[in-house]
Amino acid sequence: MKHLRTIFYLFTVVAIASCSKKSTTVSAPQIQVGKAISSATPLSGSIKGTMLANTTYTISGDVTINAGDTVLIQKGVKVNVTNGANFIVNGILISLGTKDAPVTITDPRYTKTPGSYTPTAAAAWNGGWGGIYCSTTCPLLVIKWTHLDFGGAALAAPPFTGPSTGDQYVIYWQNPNGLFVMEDSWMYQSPDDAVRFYGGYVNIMRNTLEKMGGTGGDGFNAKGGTVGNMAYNLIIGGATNGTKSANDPGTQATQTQIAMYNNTYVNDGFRNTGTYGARSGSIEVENNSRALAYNNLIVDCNFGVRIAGGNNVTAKVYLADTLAHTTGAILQTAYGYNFYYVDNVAQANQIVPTNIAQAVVTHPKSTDIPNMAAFLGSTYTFGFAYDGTSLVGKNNPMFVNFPLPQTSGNWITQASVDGYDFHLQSGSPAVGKATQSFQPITAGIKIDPNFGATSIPGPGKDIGCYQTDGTGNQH
Amino acid sequence: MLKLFTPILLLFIFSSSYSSTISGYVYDKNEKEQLVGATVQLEPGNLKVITSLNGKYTFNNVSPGKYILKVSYIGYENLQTAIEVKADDNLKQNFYLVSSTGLLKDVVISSKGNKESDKYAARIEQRADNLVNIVSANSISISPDITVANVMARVSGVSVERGNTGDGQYVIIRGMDPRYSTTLINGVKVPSPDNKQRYLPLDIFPADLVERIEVYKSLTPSMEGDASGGVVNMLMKTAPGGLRLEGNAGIGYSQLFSLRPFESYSTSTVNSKSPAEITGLGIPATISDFPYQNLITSPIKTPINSNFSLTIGDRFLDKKLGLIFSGTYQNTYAGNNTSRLVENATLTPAASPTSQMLQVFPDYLSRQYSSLTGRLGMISTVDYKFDANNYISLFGTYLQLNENRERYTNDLLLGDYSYHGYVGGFEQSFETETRTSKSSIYSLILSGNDKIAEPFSVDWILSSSDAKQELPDIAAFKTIQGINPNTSGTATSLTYTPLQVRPESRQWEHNTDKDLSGYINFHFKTSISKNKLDINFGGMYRRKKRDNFDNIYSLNPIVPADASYQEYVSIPASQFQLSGTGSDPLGNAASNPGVYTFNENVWAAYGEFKYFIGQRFDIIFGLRYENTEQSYVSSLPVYLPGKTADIPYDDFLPSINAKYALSAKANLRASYFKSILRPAYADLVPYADNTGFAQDNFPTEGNPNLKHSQIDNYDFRYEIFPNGLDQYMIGGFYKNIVNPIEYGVVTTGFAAGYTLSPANYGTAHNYGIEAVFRKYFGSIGISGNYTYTHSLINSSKIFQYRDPSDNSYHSINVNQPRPLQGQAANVANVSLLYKNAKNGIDAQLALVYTGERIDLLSLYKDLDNWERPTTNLDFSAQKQFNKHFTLYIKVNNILNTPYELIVKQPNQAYSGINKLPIQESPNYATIENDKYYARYLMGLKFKF
Repeated sequence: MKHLRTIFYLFTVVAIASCSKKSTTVSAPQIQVGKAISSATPLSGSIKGTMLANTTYTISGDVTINAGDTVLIQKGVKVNVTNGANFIVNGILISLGTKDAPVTITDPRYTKTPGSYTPTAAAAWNGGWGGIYCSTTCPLLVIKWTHLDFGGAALAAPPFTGPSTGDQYVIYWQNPNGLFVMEDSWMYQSPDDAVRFYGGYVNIMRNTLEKMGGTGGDGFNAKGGTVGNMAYNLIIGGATNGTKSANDPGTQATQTQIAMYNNTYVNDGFRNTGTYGARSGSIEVENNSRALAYNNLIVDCNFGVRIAGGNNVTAKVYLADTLAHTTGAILQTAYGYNFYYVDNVAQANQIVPTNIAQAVVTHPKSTDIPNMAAFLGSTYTFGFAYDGTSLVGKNNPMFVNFPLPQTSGNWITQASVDGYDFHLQSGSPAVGKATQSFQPITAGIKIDPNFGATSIPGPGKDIGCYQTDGTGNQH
Repeated sequence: MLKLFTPILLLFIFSSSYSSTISGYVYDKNEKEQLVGATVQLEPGNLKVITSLNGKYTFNNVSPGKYILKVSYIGYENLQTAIEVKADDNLKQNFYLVSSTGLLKDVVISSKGNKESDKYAARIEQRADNLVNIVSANSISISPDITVANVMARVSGVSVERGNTGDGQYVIIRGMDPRYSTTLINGVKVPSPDNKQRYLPLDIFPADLVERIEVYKSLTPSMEGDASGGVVNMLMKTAPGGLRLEGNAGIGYSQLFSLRPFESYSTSTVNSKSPAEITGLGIPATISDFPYQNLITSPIKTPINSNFSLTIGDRFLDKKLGLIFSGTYQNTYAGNNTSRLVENATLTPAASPTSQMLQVFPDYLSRQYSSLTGRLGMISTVDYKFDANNYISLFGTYLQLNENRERYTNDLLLGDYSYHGYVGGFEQSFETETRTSKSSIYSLILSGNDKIAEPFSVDWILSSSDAKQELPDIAAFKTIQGINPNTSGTATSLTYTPLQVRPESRQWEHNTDKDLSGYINFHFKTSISKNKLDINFGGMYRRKKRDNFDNIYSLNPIVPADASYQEYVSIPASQFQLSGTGSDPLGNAASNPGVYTFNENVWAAYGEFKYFIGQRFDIIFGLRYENTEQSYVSSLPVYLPGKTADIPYDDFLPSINAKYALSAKANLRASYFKSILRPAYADLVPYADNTGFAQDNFPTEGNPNLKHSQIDNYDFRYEIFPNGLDQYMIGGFYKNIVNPIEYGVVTTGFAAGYTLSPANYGTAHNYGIEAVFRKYFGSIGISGNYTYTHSLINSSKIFQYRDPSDNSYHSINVNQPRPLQGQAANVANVSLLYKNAKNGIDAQLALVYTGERIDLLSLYKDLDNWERPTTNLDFSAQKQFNKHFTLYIKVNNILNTPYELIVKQPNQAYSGINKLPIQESPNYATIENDKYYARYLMGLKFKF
């Protein structure tokens, strides 16, 4: 019996190995736009052209890409940004790293520190280099296979109308007609929202975010009029929410509509010290925005999926748009098939968030794991506290290498991937539990290997960002 | 309050009836006007009475016999007459005095007569060439006001914007925003210490220094053309005809501090400059540059206000050389208690296209202000009269207003929190802010008047003025804590989490505004077919340079390694650090919208004709040309548009003022003039100011493409001066404002954000009527005025709604008509006066009503903040004991009138589960309620 099983495994391995042998890998052409940008002297001021593959550049002061100009960063480029400098993008910025030769944009003063993270004690917690600030004239920002480490130094002056002095974003986006693609990239440690969007079409897929937000700040924070996907991302140790949609300030005719699916959220929402109460967990849908939240794996986060309520008298955050529409990328806010694992009662008591600070309209779902509709029962008073003690430690998602349960408090301090592996073991209860009955958003998202999204994969079979079939997050 | 009134009211009651009396009126012989305050002496017996407000005198209980009646009055020849009184007689005897100075004519330079009297003031109003209201020093000294700003609230058609001590600061003339009016000292425009505006905060001027305030509501070509609302001209005390020594000393108390202590702090560690200015821009500050001592407050239980003034004047060298020095110092402890609902910057869409968006209030703020103001004012004038036609005068003034303000804020975050039966805040913060401000105006004015050769004369003014404001180290220390209901059943009690130390902010701000100006006016007198014609022409030039600086630092609390926040122990024990390399340690001066320099050169020339047709008809008409060149350099990054700008423009400003005397006592006036409004400095600099966004301020941004406004002003007035001080006026006005400057919503290229920005909004129409009356019945007088103003402007607003038919969301810009910002449709003043020359008692009960007006514009349709109508009641009284001493008492804000702001929307916070504090109506939401409480002042005036 035992031998039989071993033989079966061997066959399987051989079969898989021979399968993968069959697919040919053809190298993509390396493209260049305009002239090469010289790496001889540190860059500042206006730049255009191509940063050549495997070259190290230094940016010592704000660099501006003028409207109509393009800067293309080829694979393997390392950009050392000093003096808190920023990319000011009025034209186009394309960063094309590859799996084997990713691009790195970092502040050379800082190195990654594994283990326990206390933001205010960390060297670069207030930001090393600045950020990538895209104005209304930037039609396209593409970030593929790129490390964006230690960004978020405060803006010394607004680069154009929109951002304020003191803003600490790594990527700031505000063109309602533009396209922003971010794939297979990494962001490591920032003081505030990692990415702040004001409108536009976005495809944010297969990225890994670590240590985002110092003592407050979201991972991907979409504001008024942003439409697109946030999928297959691994977000660990974020200060507030991993992904968020909100429609404020609401000047756009289009409402914010974000499909958030197959993301993995680990240890998020424990560092929002400026404000008490809610708004800090995994997924937040608020302020008249519409969203889909399916197939997400939420492990040891402060709150589950929060669909914000809000009255018309004292609300700071107001009601998400939960109404049915006839037009739009998302016709109605919907959620379910989200998988929760919690290590203490406080977290268990917020799998369905209660009105612990602000009103919430998240309905318990029977498709969630655990089945919260059944757990809370039909007599549950909406928004009230419940006793989730019995949910603690249940439904271990069986990561390949991440010890669960975590030691107490580890969910507050373990904010980076380090040597851990958040792939699912084959026997994980999250495998095969995802729904595939919805479509990703495709409107406005151009498909192009270099100047658009590589593809727009729909929902995966397994819950979370790593799929057992090898698709999903590639990190 | 009644307790206080009773003894004073008792003093009013006097009556006597005797059998033989002598009575009558004292008149000016030429004008046939009753003279108030003339001395009538009965000899033998040496009985003296003073004529009352209608010029009447009475001697009662006179024994039969022969007497001599002597009448004397300053500025008039003495007169006497012999009379014989019989038993039970009721003798009438009127006197007609001849002026010893001839006609009082030119307002500014004439030094004879008692220019500080009401009488003189009314006379100028009647004779002036244009529309003018005058407040005399007598009115000021008897009124309950200690600053010029408070006095202004009693002038016809004037309302006042109040500062955080409840004292008036800025004037709104005929409902037009303060920026439409200008302020002059002795006819010279002076710069403002305000950091954004051109107009002056009038509370910097102590009322004691002022001889007279003139409010001009129409312009003649010789006047600067940028006053469409009006011109406030403060004429400072001038050298008297002979030795004069007068002054006062008083003490006062603010009732607020019987309810809570005054919070004071020490300014000894306040650095006048920010670290970057001391060590150099770009050099990081260290934490020791921010001492905490000025954040430590200590209570004062019964703070006593004090008030001193002294004036010495004399005339030497054959009365040719006049000297006067006047100084005043006021030390006032004031404050207020404020409740405020914070308005959220983002709102949920309206339920349908026809529904109203609703303002929501996530925070409730309770604030206590303690403000110690020291007001120092000094003026000095030296004048030399070569002869009757030539004189020269040098005037200098230094005015200083220092305010040490402590503000304690409790901010309760409501955020729609309801939990298990508990509805209330889930987080609260506490902030102590101390703000030291020093404003000053220094001005030197050299002026002269020469009659070159009959009929040709010239007068000229050279002036140098500096205005300065410093706000060194605005320090704000903040703590925060969470509030948790204690149960999972029904909440019965609350647990507060430990207080955390939050980032501390320190800000330095200062600005200077320097003017150099010169004026010259030529006068030529001639006649055409026996009708007098005055030809005046001249010009002026002014160079203005303004510097603004602002630097903000943010200090972050040091978080212990084993904690996620720093727990609050005390302010001295709190540990801070300056993080990173950005604006935290460097300050944000390098990129601060409040940093700019501004230059403005204005020159003007004019010609005017003053034509007297017969005895009844006067007309002044002419043309003024003004050339304006403005430029600024801001701290805006070079890659953004509008870092610098040069803005030149020319204006031709015609005007005509006509006066027709219906009789010796009644005039009909009509005027037309064209005027301009130059944008405020900060309105031009296109730097987005996001300070306080999402608290209670929307982001603002200047607009360098702003055009100056041009205004056509039409006025009509009928006035009658029946006798004595009695007067009635009724008038109408119409103003056509092309390119009015108002704040409205713009999107400034940034698709997602709303910004309030000044812009020109087409044409605004502003019209109204104005009525003034003053009537005396013996010792009692009543005066009042009323102004109705109607204005209309269309400005863009945001309207967001959901269409219920398909749940679709819409955000549109709509035009919403509204009155001009700050404009109250109804403004009224009523004063009850008691003036008894016999017992030396003067008293005044003054009521000021200001109707509702827009305080702050919202980005959203229908959600502007309106100030509720206010009725302020003040009382003052004085008792003269002898020629030298007078006791006075002043009570301000008797009704404890609150300053209230509202939003006109169905008030869901009025009742029910979401009930909020300070709500008073289901029909509107009250968002602010400030209480100032009454203020008392009493003291002694002396005069030698």
